[in-house]
Amino acid sequence: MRSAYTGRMPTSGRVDGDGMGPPALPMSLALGRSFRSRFAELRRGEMRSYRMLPLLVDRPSGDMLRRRQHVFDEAAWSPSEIGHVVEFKLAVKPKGSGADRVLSGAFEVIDVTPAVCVLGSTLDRDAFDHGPLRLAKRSYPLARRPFITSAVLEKLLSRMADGNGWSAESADATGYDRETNQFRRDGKKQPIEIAFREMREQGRHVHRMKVTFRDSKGRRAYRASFDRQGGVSVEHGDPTIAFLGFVAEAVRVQAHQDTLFAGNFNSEHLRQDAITLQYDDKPFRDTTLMRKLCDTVRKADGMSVTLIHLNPYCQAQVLDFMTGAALDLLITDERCVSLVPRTARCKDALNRVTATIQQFFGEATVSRASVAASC
Amino acid sequence: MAAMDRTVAVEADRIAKQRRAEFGDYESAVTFISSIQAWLEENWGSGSRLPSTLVKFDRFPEIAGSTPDFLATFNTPYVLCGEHIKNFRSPGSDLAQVMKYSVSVPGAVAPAACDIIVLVGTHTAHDAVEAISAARKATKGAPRLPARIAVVGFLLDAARVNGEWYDLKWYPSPRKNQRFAKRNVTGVVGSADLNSLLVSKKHCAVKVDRQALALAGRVPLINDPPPPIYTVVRIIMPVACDLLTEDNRDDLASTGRTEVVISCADVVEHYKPAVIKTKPLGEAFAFMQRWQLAKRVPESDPPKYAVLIDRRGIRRELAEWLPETEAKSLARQLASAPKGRLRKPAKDSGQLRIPGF
Repeated sequence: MRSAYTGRMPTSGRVDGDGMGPPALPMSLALGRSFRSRFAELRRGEMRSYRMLPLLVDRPSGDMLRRRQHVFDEAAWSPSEIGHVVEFKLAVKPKGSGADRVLSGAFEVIDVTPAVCVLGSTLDRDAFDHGPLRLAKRSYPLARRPFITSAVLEKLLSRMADGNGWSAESADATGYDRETNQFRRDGKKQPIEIAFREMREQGRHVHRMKVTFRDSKGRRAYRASFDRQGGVSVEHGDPTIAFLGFVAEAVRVQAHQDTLFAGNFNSEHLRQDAITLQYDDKPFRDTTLMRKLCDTVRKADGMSVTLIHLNPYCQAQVLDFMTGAALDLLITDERCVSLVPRTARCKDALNRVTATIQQFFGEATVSRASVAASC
Repeated sequence: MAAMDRTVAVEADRIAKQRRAEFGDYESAVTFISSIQAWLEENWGSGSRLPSTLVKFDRFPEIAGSTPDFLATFNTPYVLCGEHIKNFRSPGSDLAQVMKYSVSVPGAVAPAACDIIVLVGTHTAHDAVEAISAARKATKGAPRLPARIAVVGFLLDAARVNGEWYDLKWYPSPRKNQRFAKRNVTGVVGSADLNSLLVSKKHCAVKVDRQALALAGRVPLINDPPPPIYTVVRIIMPVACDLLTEDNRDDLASTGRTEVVISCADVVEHYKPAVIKTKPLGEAFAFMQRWQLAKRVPESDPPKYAVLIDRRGIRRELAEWLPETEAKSLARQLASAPKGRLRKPAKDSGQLRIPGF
């Protein structure tokens, strides 16, 4: 049996809740009050932006905080109406010479459901990167960040615009360039459809986009940055809209994709399924990009990749030291990467490797099929 | 001085190449056996369109003290005992090993018919056939006839567009090379069997496909002891990864380092029913100690080792890093040796002698 997730949107309700379906994530009264308060702070200019970063969790957020408190030099958290407030302090070594910088601040861990929490932050970029973002990155596997393709990102933004009667204009688009291993930006102000298309034509996928939404009179109605990991940074407008129309939908899409990775290991090797990533541009014509793919997987924290065989096919041993999973990465033709579990606890590792490859190597059609089936 | 630098560089390069070759040779053997297993399963096992006759493919048989590379049992009934020898050397232990199988295996698997298939590199197939034929003549008159021994040459074809293939060909010497039993892997008259595929045809191509590679990943061992570098990378590190506790993983995520204590028994248990002996494991742990990847737990008996895991080490390409590190260390040692007394490691072992180890 072959099942595939190709980046098409699962059916979901409109952002303003018109009854076409239940909202992807519930919003409690307390959370609604909190968002309205943030909205007021943005209007008054008390902060530049409000960032939301969703995490899929399999345990209470307090447990996650307890087990990951040492990612900071100092950390303390206290319960709040909507989850926890975390205060942190971290000494950051400079890249060149000079003394350490000491960063400190506070952010929220919002418990949305038992399976989803959102890190909410008013911190500036530097403190955000070394605070909530650092926690999010180091929380694996206790918490995972969702991943949506750029096609889904475009659809969610279009839906947000249509649902509110807005037009969407790209102010700053960032796409990952496989050749240079760097993000490249496009600051041209243009409709988001054109920005997405131009990125695709240049062989890149939009990872993050700052969007200005305008009403029918051309006035700025909303402004925020959105990324493929469901994160959003609201600069102008009610965070509730971004939470319901983007964050919640990204989480729903990831939950749909998670079904591909469940129950994957089979003790009977002839019945073993593999997760396959299929690339239309046939990148694996020689070993250069095979090596690059292996380097890409190493970007994920705790992932060990050892090349067992490279020419003409690629076989690599992937060990996820954060979960204990072992899997084989196989490239036996020009277009497909196969991930074959070697141990039983591979669900999170498969998910993570797939997301890392898609984020830093290139988006692909992800499917699940028997190892023996051709790509 | 320049000549000494060149000597040091050449020796370091030789060590690095030797380690990579050790890793590559064993990995090739694992892939080859896995490909043969996948081929038998596809043609006569549950992957076949005809009723399956393959009952079991045992990659770790032990018969009367012998450890052939595989024992495939069919319900026709028939048993195929396989030995893979890339470079058949004669005279030598290879011949004695094969002749021992031909005597010990039939008794162990009777009443099924039994053949020994000796898979050798095509460049040594002639020597293998000559040596085995001469040895068989010497057994005439023995109370028990040995099993048939069929020498099949293999050649790795890595130049095809659609991947790697092993070309198998029964060595064409009808008077000296034995064919397989008339009734072997299939009971269906007219359908392909070992004689029609390997003996009658010009060659038989076995693909290194995803099924074979997945098998090689699941069972990264053959019935021969692996070299230390392979054991460290392919055998011990996955066990270390598996045995980390939740506390270990929390430490690794939060602080970037942790260590896990493992023993040879842990590794043996992890890979069952595959067989791995403790001697190569001990050698591998010693290898890890040498390169600060592990340290022995004091006063532990049987020995236990604390394997050091850190964020930077995880990112290393271990199969490359280990030979390079050994080569660099050798170069430093040789370069600092007193002038005129440049000591090289023994060529036969390739082992690097480091003071204190």
